[in-house]
Amino acid sequence: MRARDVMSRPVVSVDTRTGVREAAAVLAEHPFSALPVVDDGGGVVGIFSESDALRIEPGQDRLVTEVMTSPVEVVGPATDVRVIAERMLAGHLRNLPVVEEGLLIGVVTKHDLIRTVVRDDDVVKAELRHLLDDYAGSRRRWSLEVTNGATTIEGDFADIAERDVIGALARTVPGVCSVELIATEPTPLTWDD
Amino acid sequence: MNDEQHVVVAGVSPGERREPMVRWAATEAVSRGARLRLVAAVPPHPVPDTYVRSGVADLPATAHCVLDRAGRYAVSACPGETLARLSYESALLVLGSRGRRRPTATLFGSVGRTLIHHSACPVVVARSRRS
Repeated sequence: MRARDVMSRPVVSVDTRTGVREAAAVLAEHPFSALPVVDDGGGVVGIFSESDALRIEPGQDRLVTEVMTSPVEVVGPATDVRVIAERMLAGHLRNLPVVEEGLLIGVVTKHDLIRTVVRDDDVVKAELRHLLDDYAGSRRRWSLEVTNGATTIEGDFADIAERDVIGALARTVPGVCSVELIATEPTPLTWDD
Repeated sequence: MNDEQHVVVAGVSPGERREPMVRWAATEAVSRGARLRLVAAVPPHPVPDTYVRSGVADLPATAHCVLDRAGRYAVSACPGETLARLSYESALLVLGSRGRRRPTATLFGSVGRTLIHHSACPVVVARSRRS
């Protein structure tokens, strides 16, 4: 999954002529913790966060450009969400503006990333089923159970190596938190005659 | 926020000989145990993957790890100013030579000139062998 799949759009941003007071009001009205500051050409020149908003003293107003964080770390639309998560953790960031050809096109927030981790069990199950079918062909089936990301795979495994492969495959599916593998006796072949 | 001793900043330019600079910066970041930040010295920004990935295939895995995690920054109108601001929270700035013919023009291009006056940390110009 990439930045363009998870980012918030449209972006609420402010321009370089905005006052801190006005920008703080915009922040208060929206569920974002920071606003990108863009210049007349649409380029991101900084980010104005809740903590920047608190720097203003009562009775005084300043331009956002005087208090914003600049320069700002950004990602491209094709950046993988895992890379984004790593950069957010490494840089203690809560938002990353998404920039294409110098223009602001979206923002990825920690919330957007959390949504990719917490996925609907049925979606996870369908994706895992697809993956296992690709691996073994649809003739061999394991029974799957996904509850809040806890995944149980039950069936006949050819050997320990295959068990490990299936466990590893399952863990690559976004939304899978844990994997339990239960081996059952192979079903004897029967003929209906 | 970031411990400035653990950040190396590289000003990446789309000039033809950028590889030595990216290689040098990534290797230096590894030896310092530092995080790498990439700033496009000339738009487009953020620094595209193609700029970072060319000519580094033979670097060790640790350097690739640093490159993968490198933060990429938006440039404002003036990249020299952007780099100068980052220098206050960084241990080292790395610039490329941009492959111009005269070394003096190289070292003292507009970005380089701004930085020798305004950088708060040491500045390294990583030149390619041919330049």
